[in-house]
Amino acid sequence: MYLFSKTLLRRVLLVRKNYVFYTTSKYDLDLAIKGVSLRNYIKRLEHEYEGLLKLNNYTANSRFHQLQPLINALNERKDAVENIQNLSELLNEKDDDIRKLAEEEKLTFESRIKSIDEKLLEAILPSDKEDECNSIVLEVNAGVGGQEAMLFANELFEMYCNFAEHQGWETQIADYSPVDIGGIRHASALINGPQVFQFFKHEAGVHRVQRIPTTEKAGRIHTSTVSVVALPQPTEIEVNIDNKDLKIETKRASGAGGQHVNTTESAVRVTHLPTGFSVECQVDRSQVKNRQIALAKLRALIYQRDLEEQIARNENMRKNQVRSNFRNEKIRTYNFPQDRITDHRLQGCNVHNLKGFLQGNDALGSLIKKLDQQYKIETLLNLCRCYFGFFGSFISDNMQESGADVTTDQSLTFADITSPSQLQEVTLDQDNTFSSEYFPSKEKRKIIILEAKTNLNAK
Amino acid sequence: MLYLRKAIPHSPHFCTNFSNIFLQKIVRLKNTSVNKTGEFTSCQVGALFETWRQKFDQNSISEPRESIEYILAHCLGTPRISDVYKYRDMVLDEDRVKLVESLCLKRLQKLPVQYVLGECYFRQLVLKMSPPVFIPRPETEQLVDIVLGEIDRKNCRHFLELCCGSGAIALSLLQERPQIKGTALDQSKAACHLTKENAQKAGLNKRIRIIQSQLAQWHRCEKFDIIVSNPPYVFSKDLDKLQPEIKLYEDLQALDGGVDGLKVIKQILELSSECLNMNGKLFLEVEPRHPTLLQDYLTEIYTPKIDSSR
Repeated sequence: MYLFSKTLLRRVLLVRKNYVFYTTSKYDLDLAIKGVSLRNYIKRLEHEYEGLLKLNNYTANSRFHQLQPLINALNERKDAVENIQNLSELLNEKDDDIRKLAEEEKLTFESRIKSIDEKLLEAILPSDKEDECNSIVLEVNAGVGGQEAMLFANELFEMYCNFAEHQGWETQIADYSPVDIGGIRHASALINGPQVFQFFKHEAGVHRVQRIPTTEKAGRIHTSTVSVVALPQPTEIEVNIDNKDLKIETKRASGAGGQHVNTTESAVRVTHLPTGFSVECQVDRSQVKNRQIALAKLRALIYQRDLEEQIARNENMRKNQVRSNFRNEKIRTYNFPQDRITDHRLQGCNVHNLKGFLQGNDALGSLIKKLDQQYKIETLLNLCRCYFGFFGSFISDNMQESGADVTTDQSLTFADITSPSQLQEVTLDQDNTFSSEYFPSKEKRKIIILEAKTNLNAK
Repeated sequence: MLYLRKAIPHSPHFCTNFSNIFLQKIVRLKNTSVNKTGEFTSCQVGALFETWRQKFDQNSISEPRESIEYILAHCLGTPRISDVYKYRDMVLDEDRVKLVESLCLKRLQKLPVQYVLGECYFRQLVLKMSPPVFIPRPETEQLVDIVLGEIDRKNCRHFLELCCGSGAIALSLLQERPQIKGTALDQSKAACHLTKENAQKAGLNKRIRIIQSQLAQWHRCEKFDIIVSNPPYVFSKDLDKLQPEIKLYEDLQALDGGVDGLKVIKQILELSSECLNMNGKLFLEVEPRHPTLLQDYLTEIYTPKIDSSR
């Protein structure tokens, strides 16, 4: 693979020297993020869209709906460009009044193109499959730091609950285990709301707190950690649990029960026998509610396990895939003495007013939005990179056949790919996001399709 | 403070979502003003929780922590126990503090929490409870599951519940399967009354018929696909060992099953032999020792097989 990329690289560099930049007019689509042109990427998407249109029941295809806004914006843009071109005659008119009118017209069209370009940029940013997920399980666990970590875990958990409520999302606490000093060992909540996972996936990871604990007498600053996990909650169809596989215990299954005892306790423990996962729940006064909550949590756990298995199988392929980072990376520091929050994923991003932040208001929301934006841009760049790097020749051949213009800007991005592992990682991304029709070798395609099938069967 | 008082929802059955918004505000106010010392004022949820938990503990009330959790959750008007911790900084007004204290005092006299609150959560229902009617136990929720399965398999229309008590089983079945009708029977007037009230509360009174009668004296002219019951099954000699909560406050008639715990069960079996349709089934909650006893008893007396689950 490494060799392959090297030869390709050489070829493209050669081409770059000889190729003449080919631009038709200044209104050509020329979007770029961080100096990387998205032009060919958009062309690719258009191509894919056309391919989808040929299918019989394309309206049922989710990818079709994903692409639709982009195509709409592109068509709008084409109309605008056409209109400007139609104006060119009028612009050369000798009559001053008409020319002025035409120029005004041109200006409005130009500004419209600008706004469409912004829209395009929005539409083009890729979204994960799980972004659509409308319900999640959020878990907060106290980490290193004993009581202090437990106290902070509680504060974080409250922050998230407040945030969810602030957003108008439905929160249901699934597990809450307080300790006497007011902290929690762990807690979890089921949160339902439009695209909640898109928000909370950026919160998953290790949160670090630096402050003088209330329990500390000498006034030293301690550092403790709290870990946050966000799992997308699968629907019952995605993860089907057979009732036979479940062992449901009311907690005092041992000893006398029934009419012999009267307790208020409504705790339930559900064990999934094939996986050995066991979930307890006692947050509601009704046992049936508790059981429902426990089952929802169990389902999320099993779903996560399936995902992880899938990832583990491809581990060598996607060493630095984003999702696996979600777990153990230190993502944010809350520094109380300096009243500052630093998110380690955003460069130079400090938020002040810690107390306000922990109330879970807009401050948290805007930080997450920033993270989401950055994450999307990075994924997009990754896609472009691999796409034009890896498939550069493939695409250009294809496009030349269809008489399309090929410029060589993509060689720039191609040169960015340095290690072969990166290339491989990207192929998988492609599989997740695109139809396999663009894979270079048929064998590779087969392998991936096979894997996908086995994954499905395993489910 | 005046604002706080106004903002706190007064009805315990206040719509939860709505009250949450208010509670939220209160928590925020709280953070900025009163809680600077980090100590709980005596009207705070957290302080009430601690004092009463200790008091219950000292007086060896069973489940001290759960008891106060339930009482506070009830006073906050929420079904969720975790809300008690969530709103532990909230300051309650005098009336509410008094309410909490009066309920706690009742609990101190070993009154079961369900009687203290006057309500009991059973499956998806919140049932009204009043002494001395038997408090439904969580195990019975599983009995309902089993019966629901049978109803779905056979597409049954009409069931009979014997010894209905507060009506928990019958009402749950009716609520979860809207196509069926039920008849509930109990010998106690208080129980029948409570069942009726609960049926009205759940809006199920049109589909249930409640009969007050002794088992033996009820003249049986109808047949049913399903008979279900949680009859008294405690051995008489075990009655003495029961928790004080049960002994002092619950109707022992609803528990006492005679020498071998089978006194009422035998009556039910006899009644079922007349009142069950062909292929009809009887579902009973019994003691762990009973299944073998019952098998022996049945092989001895009856030749036709009767399925006894649980």
